[in-house]
Amino acid sequence: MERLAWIEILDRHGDVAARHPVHAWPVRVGRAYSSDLVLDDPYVAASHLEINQAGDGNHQVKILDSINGMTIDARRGKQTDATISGNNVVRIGQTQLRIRPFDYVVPSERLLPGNAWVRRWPAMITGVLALLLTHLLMQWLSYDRDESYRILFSPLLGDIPLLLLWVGFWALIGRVLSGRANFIAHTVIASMGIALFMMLNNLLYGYVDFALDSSLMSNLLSGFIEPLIIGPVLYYHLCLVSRVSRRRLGIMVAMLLATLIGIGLITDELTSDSALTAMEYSRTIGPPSLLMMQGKTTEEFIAGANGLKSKVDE
Amino acid sequence: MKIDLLIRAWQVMLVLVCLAPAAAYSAQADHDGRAQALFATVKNSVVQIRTLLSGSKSQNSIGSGFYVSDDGLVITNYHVVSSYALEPKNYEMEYVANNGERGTLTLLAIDVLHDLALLQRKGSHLPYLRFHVGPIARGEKLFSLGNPNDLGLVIVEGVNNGLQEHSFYDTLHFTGAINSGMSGGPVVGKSGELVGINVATMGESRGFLVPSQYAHELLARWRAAPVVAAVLEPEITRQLKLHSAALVERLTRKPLPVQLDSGYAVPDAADPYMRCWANKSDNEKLFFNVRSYNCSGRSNVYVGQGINMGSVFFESLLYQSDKLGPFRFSRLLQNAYGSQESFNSDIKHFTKFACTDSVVDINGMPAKAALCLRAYRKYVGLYDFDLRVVSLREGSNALVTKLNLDGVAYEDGIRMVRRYMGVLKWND
Repeated sequence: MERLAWIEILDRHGDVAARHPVHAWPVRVGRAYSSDLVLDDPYVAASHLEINQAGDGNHQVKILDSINGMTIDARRGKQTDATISGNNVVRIGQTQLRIRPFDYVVPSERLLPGNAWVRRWPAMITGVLALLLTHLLMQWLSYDRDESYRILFSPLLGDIPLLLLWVGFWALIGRVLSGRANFIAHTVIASMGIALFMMLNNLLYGYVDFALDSSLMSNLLSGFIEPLIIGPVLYYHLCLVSRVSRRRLGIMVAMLLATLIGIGLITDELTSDSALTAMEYSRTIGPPSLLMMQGKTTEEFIAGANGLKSKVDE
Repeated sequence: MKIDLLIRAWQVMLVLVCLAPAAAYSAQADHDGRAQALFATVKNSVVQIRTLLSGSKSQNSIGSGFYVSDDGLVITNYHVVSSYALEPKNYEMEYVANNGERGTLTLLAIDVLHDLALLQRKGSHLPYLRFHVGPIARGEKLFSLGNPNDLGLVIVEGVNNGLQEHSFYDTLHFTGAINSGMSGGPVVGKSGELVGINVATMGESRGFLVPSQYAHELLARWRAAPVVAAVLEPEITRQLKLHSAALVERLTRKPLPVQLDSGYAVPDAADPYMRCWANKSDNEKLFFNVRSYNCSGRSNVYVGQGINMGSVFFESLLYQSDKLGPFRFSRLLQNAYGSQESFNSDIKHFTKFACTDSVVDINGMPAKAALCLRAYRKYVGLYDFDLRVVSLREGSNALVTKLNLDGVAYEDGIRMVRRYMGVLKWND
């Protein structure tokens, strides 16, 4: 017999749970065993819906004998009769249906994830090298005495085991949830993220503040820099282990970060009195050639102390 | 800073006898029997002074004291009774006379700057000590009395070694074994007249005495205006402000002297009471050299547990390196500029630090400076200042210098900061 169309039953996430071929129109849908498509949904009537061809690849859906009726594409308001395309979703009871004709045009083939650069060895080596180089740069900056073992051993002792633990954790979750460890891709994401974070947090912001004689970067952004880098790292890790849509993951991560920033700001506020030991001023000193600002006079500097007095006098 | 801490340590040491194990003290040979005779005449004038936790009979701290009038006026050290003075609700004071008699004491007046307190017990016809008038020769024999480590009244023979050098306030250097618990006890000459009051020890027979004239002045002030204050903080604050003004006046009387090192002017001792120590790095593995100067003096005033005020400290570090490039050299300076000593940050006593920092052009020398300030909560109008400056010249030499002022009035602090920054410069 010739197949005319497919009726697809979708799950809560919109993925296809079952697919039924249609060999003749009309198709009657309901709980009764006399239906062409039998549904076990208790919120569906014995004889609920009739589907007919409507031309141009569209279909007509019509309520037969139901109190609950139907809704289309989660729009409000019950309908009794409608013409739908292959992309509309009809909801009857708690069941979602989609009708796609035999000649429905599917989107073109997506590239296999296995071919992406992030899953290849060169990317992993680049990532790990970037991390090690960043670390070496930090070490070199404070390398002011002849103790070469400090430079060689510290990244091995500190960063590498931590990186392995982190990547191992994600690979394990990925293996459990989606069957793929994606070890290389996780390593690339984590090492690049950490390297970037170290560069920005330990070097760039400090030197920018030094050059401009400001404390904007280190003070104002200090609560935001971490989430801004941790956010994307977390997002890409999640994309690899989870099959939830990317948009939804993005929203989840954004909400998580917003919460973290919020909690950070609140605890900062709460602990500001007990954080007595900290003298807060811009500590980064760079080479004098970086300096772009003209210095204040001593008197202008001392005049700034009047503001301090009113601050501590409360 | 180490020296500064040492001084703080020995000032506090005396109070905390109850916690310290009994230390051995050397018995002095009594060749001519004078100590024996003196002890017999003076012993009944000396009392033990104890502070107790309210409602308990257990002692919190012990010291010594002595009568200066026949109706029961007692002189002791302020630090012996400071816990009572600051928290009269939580502590009580009592005396124990040599015959075992005890009773309560009232606090009448204090002189925190010279570490003295005037107390009152009930009684009449008490055997009091008379004040010595006139100078005491260096090398003269003196006799110190007190209750070391709660072991009972002792007499210790020693020698007057004149006024202690490098102390902001006059203190007699007594070579004799003063021990914990003898604080506030009298020191008498051969005639039995009061010469000084035990106040501190550095150990190994290096004792320090408050000259008796300050006790005499305290007594005279009290007799002229006998009013007991219910709360002592305002009075302590008033005295500390006098101290702050006197201190900064002495430090700024003359232009701040400097030493020249590698082209930089480094602040030097501003007054004879201050002294400076110099040091240099001595490690062949270092890719740089550092020469350090630090200046301080004994001007700190003990106010209470963990609170010392009125001290000044200069520190300068001169870095030189041909091996480190500009990035690593500046990282080295950053470590010195950003370093922070640990300090008392009890929220009960201090506010949080507020800071300002900026690139500054100091006498033609480009530099970065940070000034931090915090206030004392109980001593209103007194502040801690922390100034640090790092030079930002191209080249292989740099200066990092710091000024610390503890417990000074705002105007005094700013005056000192201005004076300090005013002398910093670089000469080709």
